[in-house]
Amino acid sequence: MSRSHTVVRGALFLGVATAVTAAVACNSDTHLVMPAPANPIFQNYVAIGNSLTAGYQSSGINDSTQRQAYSYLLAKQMGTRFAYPSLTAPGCAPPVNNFLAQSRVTLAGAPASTSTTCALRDPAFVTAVLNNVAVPGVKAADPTSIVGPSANTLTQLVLGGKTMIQKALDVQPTFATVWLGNNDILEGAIGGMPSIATPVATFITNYAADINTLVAGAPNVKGVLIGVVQVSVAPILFQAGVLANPAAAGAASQVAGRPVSLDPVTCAGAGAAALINFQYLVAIRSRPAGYPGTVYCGKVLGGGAADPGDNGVLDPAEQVSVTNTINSYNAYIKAKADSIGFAYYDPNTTLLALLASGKIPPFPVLTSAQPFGQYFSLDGFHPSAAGHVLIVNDLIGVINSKYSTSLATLPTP
Amino acid sequence: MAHRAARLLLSSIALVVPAVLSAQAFGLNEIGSCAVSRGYATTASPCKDASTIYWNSAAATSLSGWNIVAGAAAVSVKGGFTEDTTGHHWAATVPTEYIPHVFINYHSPTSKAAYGVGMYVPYGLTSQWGDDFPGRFSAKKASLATIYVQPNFAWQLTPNWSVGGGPIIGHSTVELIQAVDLASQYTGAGGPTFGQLGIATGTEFARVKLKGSAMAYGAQIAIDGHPSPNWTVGVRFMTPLDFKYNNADATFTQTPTNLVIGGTVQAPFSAGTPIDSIVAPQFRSGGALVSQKASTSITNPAQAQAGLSYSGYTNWLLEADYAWIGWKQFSRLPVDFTNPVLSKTLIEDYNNSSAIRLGAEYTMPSDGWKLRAGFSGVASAAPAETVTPLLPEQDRTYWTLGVGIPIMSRWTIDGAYSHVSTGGARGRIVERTSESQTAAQLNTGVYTLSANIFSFTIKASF
Repeated sequence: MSRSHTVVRGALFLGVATAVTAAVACNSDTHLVMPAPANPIFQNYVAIGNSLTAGYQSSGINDSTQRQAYSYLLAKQMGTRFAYPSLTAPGCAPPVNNFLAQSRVTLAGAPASTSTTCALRDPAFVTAVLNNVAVPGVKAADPTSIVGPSANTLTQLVLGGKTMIQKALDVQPTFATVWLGNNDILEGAIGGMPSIATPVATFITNYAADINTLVAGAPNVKGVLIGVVQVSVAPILFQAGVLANPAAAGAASQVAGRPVSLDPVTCAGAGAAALINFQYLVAIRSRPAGYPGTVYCGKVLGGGAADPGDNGVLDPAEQVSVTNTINSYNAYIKAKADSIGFAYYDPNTTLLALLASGKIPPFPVLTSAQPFGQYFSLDGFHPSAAGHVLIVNDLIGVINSKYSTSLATLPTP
Repeated sequence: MAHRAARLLLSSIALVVPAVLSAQAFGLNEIGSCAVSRGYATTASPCKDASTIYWNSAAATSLSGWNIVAGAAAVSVKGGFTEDTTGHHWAATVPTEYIPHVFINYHSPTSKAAYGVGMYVPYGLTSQWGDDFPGRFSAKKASLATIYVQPNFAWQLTPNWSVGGGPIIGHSTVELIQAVDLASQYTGAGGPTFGQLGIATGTEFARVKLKGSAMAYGAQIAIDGHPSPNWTVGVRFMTPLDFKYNNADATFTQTPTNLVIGGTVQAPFSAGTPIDSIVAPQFRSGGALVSQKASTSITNPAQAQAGLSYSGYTNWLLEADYAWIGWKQFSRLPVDFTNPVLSKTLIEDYNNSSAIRLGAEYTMPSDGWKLRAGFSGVASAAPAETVTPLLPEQDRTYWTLGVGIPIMSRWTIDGAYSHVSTGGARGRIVERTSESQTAAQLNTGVYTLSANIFSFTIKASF
């Protein structure tokens, strides 16, 4: 046998084998279906926060409102995966869908939904990892605790027995937005009792623990820290002096079930600048018959059962206190953002511009389907779908500036 | 002319390969080191030893006197899964497995009959994954060990044609370990699932181990022919063996989740309550997850192989084989527990499959050493919907080589190495619960798989 024959036979054998290999390889489908974000820094996005981030609107939340949240919209613009804890319709609690009747979203044929109705998570969308870990109601003290001071049903439904930061780290985040602190001041502000707000020093301690825990678990994460909203801008609060307008007074009387009038003592002079929670008028309705519909602009103690006391009234001095507290919160949040290389976003610039431009009505327009204006939902302080678009566009501007990205904004409503 | 025909044979095979490639799931071919090194193309011209009882039982008449074969193959598998959404990769933790083979045959040169018996492992599987692998709820560990014992009888019909075959007694043991996902469990009759209460998918709260064994019976037959001095042909067929693992033991152990209810939902899901204390009663007497009996059945499919070999080149032997395996029988994998709530049926939907096997052997004229090489190309028997942690079946190529070393006059040592490579395949880590679910809906990542096989056999003839 010649050497050349041996080589030819070996080559023939290998040629056949190679053809077989190629045929097999052609059958392989080996591509990963990975998200293709607009920028690699958005590979794994997590949204940390409270009701604003979760997508709470009109005193409720369900899958529809969750998909209108700025966090969801931002993820879409990033082109990244965004799993959220989809809440089955009608919701948990179902959002209010009629402001005057205060009725809530109700499924056809089902009993009328209430504020305690909860249809739990949608089993079809239960996942191992969530990108939106925000829980309505949380304060800065909550995200590092499983059962925090503001724990509620949604804490379990969203976090499933983990802390918010643990849940966020499950994402292995490359980018995070953190919007915490609103609930540290909200209840005291709209309730007219700023003294129950989280003290600034406590807030700083809690907030630092949240961010430090996040960054310790994801050392290379980038993101945005978002400042606390100046609650006085929320349209659920109206200036007492507005009731001097007959049209507003008439609407207020309709809500209160009796004629309303300003207390001539507390509402005199600067007192007319007191901010009144719209729910104050609802409370007047429950006063015994024969009691007047007086609106007080400050502390009036000893008014008896019909006296709402200080609840729902944020007098000018209290407004200063609230503003100072929020400014202190935000000063720390910005400093923290700077210290960890995050961007900082102050939502109040846009809110104040809306107020200045008259897009936030001075008194709820009861005849409108949007009594608090286009940008706020029916609870008067959570953004509407349009409001979330404003927020996400602002955030995109901040992110593009900080990280030299080119996220596209959404059409302004 | 004969040489031209040989070239034509090989070229034709190359042309038909794309149409016929398909293969072999949990089939094993490591039955004799000589066969491994020849790319498993050994049905027309089986290795001259008693392993022919498997590869072509009729060719046992071509052996002379007593022939004894014993050996084992070590199979080292490397694999992994890369998840789409995170890019995270989990490596499989499959231990090296050792697959034995033993054959003995006797054929008197003056007799037309040959007798023998073989013990071999034509089907087997071990897949194993780490504790953090998200597909462990489908299979944390799967082990299927099967041994066939085949008494063999071969008869020389004419000087050039023989037939052979024998019954097969099969014994199989199966072990399956799965994690159990809390998210998909119901909190009570008519109640929501734990997932609806916020428990994340992939929250392991229990582990189930199912272990059983079964016997089954079948047969194998073969034909061996020498139509011309340089050409030989061979055909073999093995019946399916249906193993029914009745009275398998199913045991459940609780896995701590260390989760605590974060906010009150409804009793008993109150803030601060450990999840583990809520589910613990299920593992006690009267609970759903107590030790119990289970049953399943697996049919080791029929297989057939036909080959054509040519020995017209001096000192060379070339062979090409076509192999067929009836994997379509592996359609459903039922797992029935004493507690019927736990019973389920895995949808496999395998397809019948084929393989092309090519082998060559060169005999060194100086000392009789055999230098062997081979190739086998096989495509996946599993459809795209059934690439799973249990068996991430995918297209494979086998490159093989080996050597046969005669020692003294009666002994031979065969050694073989085979590398199994794949291109990877998209697959799933969750159960397929409905025929309507497509691969695009189910598959969430890519499985990779490769293996190195070392085989060693010692043979004696006297």
